[in-house]
Amino acid sequence: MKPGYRYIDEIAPADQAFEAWGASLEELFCSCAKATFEVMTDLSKVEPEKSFAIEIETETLDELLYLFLSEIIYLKDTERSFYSEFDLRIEAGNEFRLSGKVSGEKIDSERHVLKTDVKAVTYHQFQVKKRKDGYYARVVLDL
Amino acid sequence: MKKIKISDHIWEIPTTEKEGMRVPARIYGSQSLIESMDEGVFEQVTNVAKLPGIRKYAFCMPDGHWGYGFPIGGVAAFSLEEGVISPGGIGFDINCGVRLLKTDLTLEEVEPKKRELLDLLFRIIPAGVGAKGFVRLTNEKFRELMVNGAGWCVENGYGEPEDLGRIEQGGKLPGAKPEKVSKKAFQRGMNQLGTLGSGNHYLELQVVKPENIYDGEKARVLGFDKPNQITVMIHCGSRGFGHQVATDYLFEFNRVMPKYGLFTEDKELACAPYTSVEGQDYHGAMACAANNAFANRQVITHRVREGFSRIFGKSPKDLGMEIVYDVAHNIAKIEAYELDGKKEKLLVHRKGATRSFGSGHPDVPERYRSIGQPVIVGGSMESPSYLLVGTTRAEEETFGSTCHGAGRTMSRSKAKKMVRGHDLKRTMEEHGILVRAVSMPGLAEEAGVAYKNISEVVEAVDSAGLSKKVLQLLPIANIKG
Repeated sequence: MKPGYRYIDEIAPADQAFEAWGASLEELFCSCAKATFEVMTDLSKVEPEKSFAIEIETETLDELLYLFLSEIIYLKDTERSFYSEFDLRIEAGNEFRLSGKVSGEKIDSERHVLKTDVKAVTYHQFQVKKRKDGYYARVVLDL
Repeated sequence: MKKIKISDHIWEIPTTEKEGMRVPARIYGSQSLIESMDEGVFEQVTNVAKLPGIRKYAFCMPDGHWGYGFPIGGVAAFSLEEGVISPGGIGFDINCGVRLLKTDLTLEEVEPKKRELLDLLFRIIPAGVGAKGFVRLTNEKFRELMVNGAGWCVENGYGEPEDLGRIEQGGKLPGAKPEKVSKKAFQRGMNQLGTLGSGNHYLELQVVKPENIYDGEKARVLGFDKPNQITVMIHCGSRGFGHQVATDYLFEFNRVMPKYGLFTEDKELACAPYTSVEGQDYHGAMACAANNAFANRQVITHRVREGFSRIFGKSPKDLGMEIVYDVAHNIAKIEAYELDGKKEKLLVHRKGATRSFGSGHPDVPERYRSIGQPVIVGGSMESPSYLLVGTTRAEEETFGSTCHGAGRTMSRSKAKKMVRGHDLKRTMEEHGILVRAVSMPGLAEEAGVAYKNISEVVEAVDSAGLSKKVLQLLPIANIKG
């Protein structure tokens, strides 16, 4: 299965919902991150110039995705940057652990397309599931 | 879901409709507004009715639409002893709200300089994703701001002492606990003070035409005494700071609920007993975010005054640039209401709903006490906004609450498919509304077609007696993030 995402219109008309998929958890999380940043900008114009390390440990897979997306939204504000590349490793067992780095560049209104800011990840109809051929998630972003 | 008609403007969903409902749900609105509401509103308002310690009814205002946990337009009051506090009843944008400034300038005076004025305001008020504020804060100053809200701004030269009396709660929610705010929220908020944000946030120049004044006497008390007066409306909230506080505590509450024997099917409705450690911590952090939002609107006000001053060559005072009022529409507050013949302090959650205290209420500023608290209802970019006043009836019926805006009916993607940003900008300019937008796709998403008819919403709260119309404000220029 090729990783990817699709925006859903029906769930949260005031905001933005998406579903994402990937053969592995890493691919799934990467699809979710791209779907989140594509709401804010045209990702093809964002160069992976600078990297930031991320490490998250949680009790459940749901929590791991919620905290990961919250982390990159936080990094968007504090570094005033968009991110286009995500190099992640996820260990799933009794606990869940994500480590890796996100790469992007400072927001530049001259070069980047500015769309709508993402305020937060919501738990509204939030889903992360293992399917026959990989992993699937549904997320609603608050704009 | 079964809805019983109580009156022309009130519809009730009885407790028999859903297992676990502790109180009935009451939705305000005309028949046509109720019929156009998505089913999610009724689902969510009845979920709210299941929360422990809820008193009287779970309410939804006429601008209700599907939210997270609570519907937008949701109002619920909880017992302080047995009740809960829920981030989902406040929203991610804590103390998102609307401020209205008046000027003594008229349309005739502003029209020739409108373009120049709007360009200047667009330059000095940062907006959109990635925008950075101009106020440099240290951790220490930021902590003071979290506790003192708009008062901090006045102390630091961003406003006049008399501004504070024209902001809900004096621009300072008590009980702020900066030590309960995460380092992440500190870092996110540090460089965003005085920024407008994006999404549905805006700064708008408006005109009050004589034919749009419904109550001349009240309008005069509110500062409108000449034809075609110009106003400025600011709609924004606590920016990344508040979003982070909400994110942190939503996560935390979902973890601690089992400890308190609490369960909600919808994780966005996560809650904790108000008296619990977590409940108190969130309340303290939420107050910090609320104060940050009051400060944000205060700093933006300062910049608006500077902009007008530069263009018209007069001081803000000489231009009559006074705050009419500032309302919070995403907040939880402790207020006292009479229940079963006894006054009781309750925690009132308003999520996309505005406080609406009537004349004589001690929390209404003295200059407005004879007419009731000003209620500001902001429209979408293309439509009018309204200034109303609160009523004693709202205090008696809806824990002193009324509507907050138009309410979205169309998805962002659909709006973008129907309208292109550049076309919308041109059409609006043809109708006399100048637009400056950071984001053209963002502009299209906020097109008027995506929203309910605000006039119908305002008629509904006026007829229901939850607040009374005073005047209508027509947009003449708009800044969007």
